[in-house]
Amino acid sequence: MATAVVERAYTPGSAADFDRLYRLTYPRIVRTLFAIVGTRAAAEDCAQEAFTKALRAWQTWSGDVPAEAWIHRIAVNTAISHRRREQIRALPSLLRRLGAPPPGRDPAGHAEERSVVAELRRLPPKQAAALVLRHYQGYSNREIAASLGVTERTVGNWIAAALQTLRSRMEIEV
Amino acid sequence: MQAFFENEVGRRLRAELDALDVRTPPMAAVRPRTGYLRAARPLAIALIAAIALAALATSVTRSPDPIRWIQPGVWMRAIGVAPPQPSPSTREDSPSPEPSPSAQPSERPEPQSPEPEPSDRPGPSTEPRESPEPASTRESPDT
Repeated sequence: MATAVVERAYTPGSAADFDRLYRLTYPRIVRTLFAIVGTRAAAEDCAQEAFTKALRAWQTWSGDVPAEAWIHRIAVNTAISHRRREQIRALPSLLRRLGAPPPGRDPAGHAEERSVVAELRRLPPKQAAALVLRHYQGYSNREIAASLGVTERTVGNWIAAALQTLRSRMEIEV
Repeated sequence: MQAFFENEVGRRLRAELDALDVRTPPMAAVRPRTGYLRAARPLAIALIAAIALAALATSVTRSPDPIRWIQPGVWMRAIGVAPPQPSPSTREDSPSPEPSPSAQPSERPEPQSPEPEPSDRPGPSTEPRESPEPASTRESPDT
């Protein structure tokens, strides 16, 4: 309820309100994006791109979705686009590796893969985003649904699928 | 078991993400980029269009001189199209001979024609040649 009161304080098109929204949400947005794209530099680039887009659209923000959820939607979509571009860039090396024997696991790489963020990066980006918004930002499924523009049921399915995949990959640690 | 795993994932995720030290850059990092790009785009398009037009004009007219580009008939001659025929006043100055006076007798007078017939026989001529008449009217006030 208190959140709703704060959200109502934002006025679409107000530069001062956008500045306030930017200062309040930037670190959380970068952390969410870090969990999706996997590197700090990419997360900061995506965050800047997302805020630039949001500033352009700030006049048209209708207020039916909380401003923070609106920013998260833009940021997550930007991260998804980034992951797609990254996959396209990685396609030639993937094709070169086809048919070659799989590389051996080195201990350093294995240690890196143990982190949850590294495992999230291997998930579909929407599943990773839903999991981060649920377990790091503390959003409810309804808030995540409003933020990502999907139904609550879809959010529940994404989170369940993400947890199942993580469990199969991280079973040794738990 | 499922709840335990979910809680463990949440705990480790918070620990990993909270360890990330994020500093908020100044708002200017977001704001001026858009304004600069919006202002620069039309200028860039105009510059590219001007360069393309100049290159086209240089190649067609074979001259880098902009004065030459806007001279009448230069573009028509360059692309192989005959320029429009000049007016009769400018034609009088040109010494080029007329190829066939009988083809267009009414439209093409021959001021330098040596034929003396029009002045000698003004009345009964059925041909529409009218070129000598201004000469005869010009002479009458002087004499």
